[in-house]
Amino acid sequence: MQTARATIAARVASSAKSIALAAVLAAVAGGAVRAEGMPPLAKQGYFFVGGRYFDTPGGKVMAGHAYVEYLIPKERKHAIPLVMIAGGAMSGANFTGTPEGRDGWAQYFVNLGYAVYMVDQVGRGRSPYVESVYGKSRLNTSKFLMERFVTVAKYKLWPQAHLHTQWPGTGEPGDPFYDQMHAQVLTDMENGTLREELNRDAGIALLNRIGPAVVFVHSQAGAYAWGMADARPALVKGVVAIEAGGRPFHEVEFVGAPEYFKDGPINKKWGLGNIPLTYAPAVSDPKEIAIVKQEKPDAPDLVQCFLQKEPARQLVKLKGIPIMILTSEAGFHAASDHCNVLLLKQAGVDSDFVRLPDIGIHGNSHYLMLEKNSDQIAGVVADWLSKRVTPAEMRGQAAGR
Amino acid sequence: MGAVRKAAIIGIAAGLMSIACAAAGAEGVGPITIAKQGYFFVGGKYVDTAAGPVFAGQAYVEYQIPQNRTHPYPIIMIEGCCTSGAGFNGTVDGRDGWAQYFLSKSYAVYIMDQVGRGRSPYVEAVYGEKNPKAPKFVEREFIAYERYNLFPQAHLHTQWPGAGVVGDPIFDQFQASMLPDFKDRKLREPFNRDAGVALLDKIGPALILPHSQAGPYAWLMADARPNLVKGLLMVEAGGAPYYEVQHVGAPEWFRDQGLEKPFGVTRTTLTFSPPAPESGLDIVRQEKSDAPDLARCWMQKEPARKLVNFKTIPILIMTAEASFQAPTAHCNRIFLKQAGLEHDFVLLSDLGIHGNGHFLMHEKNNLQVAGVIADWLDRRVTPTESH
Repeated sequence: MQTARATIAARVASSAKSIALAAVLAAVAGGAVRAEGMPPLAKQGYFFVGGRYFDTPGGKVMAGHAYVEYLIPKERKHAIPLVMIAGGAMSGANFTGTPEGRDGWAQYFVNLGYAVYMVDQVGRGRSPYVESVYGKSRLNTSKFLMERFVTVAKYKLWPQAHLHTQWPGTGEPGDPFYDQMHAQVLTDMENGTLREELNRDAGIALLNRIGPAVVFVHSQAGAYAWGMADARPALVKGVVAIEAGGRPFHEVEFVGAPEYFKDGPINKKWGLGNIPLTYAPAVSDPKEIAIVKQEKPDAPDLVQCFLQKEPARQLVKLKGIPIMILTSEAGFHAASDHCNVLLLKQAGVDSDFVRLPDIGIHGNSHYLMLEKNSDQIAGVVADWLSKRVTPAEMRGQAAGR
Repeated sequence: MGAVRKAAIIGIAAGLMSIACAAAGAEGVGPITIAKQGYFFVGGKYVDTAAGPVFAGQAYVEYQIPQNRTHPYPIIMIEGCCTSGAGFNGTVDGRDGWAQYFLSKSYAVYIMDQVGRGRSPYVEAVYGEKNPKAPKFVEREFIAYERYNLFPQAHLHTQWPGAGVVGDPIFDQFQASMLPDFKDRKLREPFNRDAGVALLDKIGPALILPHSQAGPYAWLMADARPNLVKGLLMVEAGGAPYYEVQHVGAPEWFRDQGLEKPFGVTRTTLTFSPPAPESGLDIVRQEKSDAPDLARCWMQKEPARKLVNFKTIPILIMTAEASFQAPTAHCNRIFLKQAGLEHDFVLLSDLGIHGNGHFLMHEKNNLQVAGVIADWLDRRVTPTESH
């Protein structure tokens, strides 16, 4: 047992190292100041995917659909577009700008010749919240935003939080950049399992419509990416998981020094989410997945992971899909994202684990696409895509696909 | 009389425009180079709730600035009930929308999601209950007029793409875009006025293009910031002044609902001289309608109070042939005349543009209609841009 885990950890570490070297170069390139704006767009617009009519006591309603906006450059350099899905309480606007008013990641990737599709999660933003189908919603307060995302160095709820330096401004209400961030906080569906199901299904409808794509997710949207890849492995040409999902199986509660972590309830009963994934041997009830907690964390500042008991079931549909797991230095995912890497590895799925501090990018927290060095981080992702996805794309084209 | 002549002049120009647009229609406006795109929030403040402080009153604004911008005044577009700004970014059948059209005409475009709508969060603790719109309501009131014939012009509707009924894929795309509305219609106005004013204060002089429900916000913004509003492009905006009209079909057609806008075009007071009483303007009903297919207008008792804050802003009132607003749009004209405001009143049918309904930015000839607005801007606003 002990050796198996050590081996997994070593393999993860070595794969992280190889990508780290390349990413350092990318980071340097990404750090260069880029002109704002975009090259000529062949087409921009939006559409809705998924959804159907439901009969409710109040009458017929449409629900389950997601708003998708897209930017397609005239000179497209990549056949495979990016599908970007923001995390909890956020909309696709996460990707079209920063609180300071700089260009967002969408513009960055359009400049590299990618078509980008940005999703407002089902029930979020321009995807209407249909209470009669989705049930209750909740709205985050400033306290939660500051402790968890923006002003984390002040609250120090996890060991890495004090390293946070990249948020623009003070991170307090009244600061214009904090206020811009808080202004965009939307309501969130309380029923997490339903939210994952609905978003997976809308995501599948999007893939069916646009064809092969890289699914690029942040935070809460992690589970949707795994669900989409599991359902449409042939259409998902890569998963970019940015601070995505959180610790497998048991949620982590962050409580500050000296203890820092407490085990919360199981909020990902299928390991990577609350919605079914295809395991071999097959699982019909997630309770059949036997789990075990690491006896010791891999490092003093990390959580103890929950993994499968060996012999581990395999995530057969995810095998072979290029996967990047990217984690900031100071965000709350810094303490637990390695557990996702371990879980995938154990289930037979390779991933590239990029911890930003390992490649010299310091001080980011969870909303790194909104932080001062957002372009630099986009550069790391772009570099990974060019190494892991573009070559496959070329092979596909050469084979006449 | 003057308005009729003006309409005729526009008619000739629009005739040419429509030919040009018809040619471009298939492929839309073509590639656009964006110098800058992004978004920000305007207005809003922290409000204490039982759960802790939340942010409320803000509106999401997305913008695109074309590289070949030639017009100094950007266009602020505000959608009506009950969609977000997305309706300007493309049609429900996937063609280029009005935002792309005006970008291609070298305007910067700012699109606002109303307070509590779309990417402007709905803060129930502050805004109160929501009012969703049912699919059959949307089909009957907004899209498939010709199937219900509830008002005299309904049968003329031909421009909606697709069948316009629940289950038709294009209708379903439209229904998908329907967002819940404030149940409290009066509360909606000050929130959107304040966010709109914050937007003008941030970006400076601009043109405002409201649709439908957003009409009152445009009047309120102009009243509050007359120096920053360089043109009002009222597209199917506002509905009937004073009393809401219910459309009940032949032979009666029209029935009054409640007094919806006591200040004529708004629920919130505007700057009148002499000032309007708190309860609203003194009004009287036309004894006879101006034409058999029009509703009888409500109007001020003479001597009428005047709107004094924004007398010199160019105003376009544009109405579609087969919209539910067709029987009452002329009542806005009466309102403006009484209030002392010059304006251009454009019935699309007078320009030979037939068959449009209320959501004309989505309809088959959407770029042709945008061309009418662009033409009006060229004549009424562009000459003053350099001053």
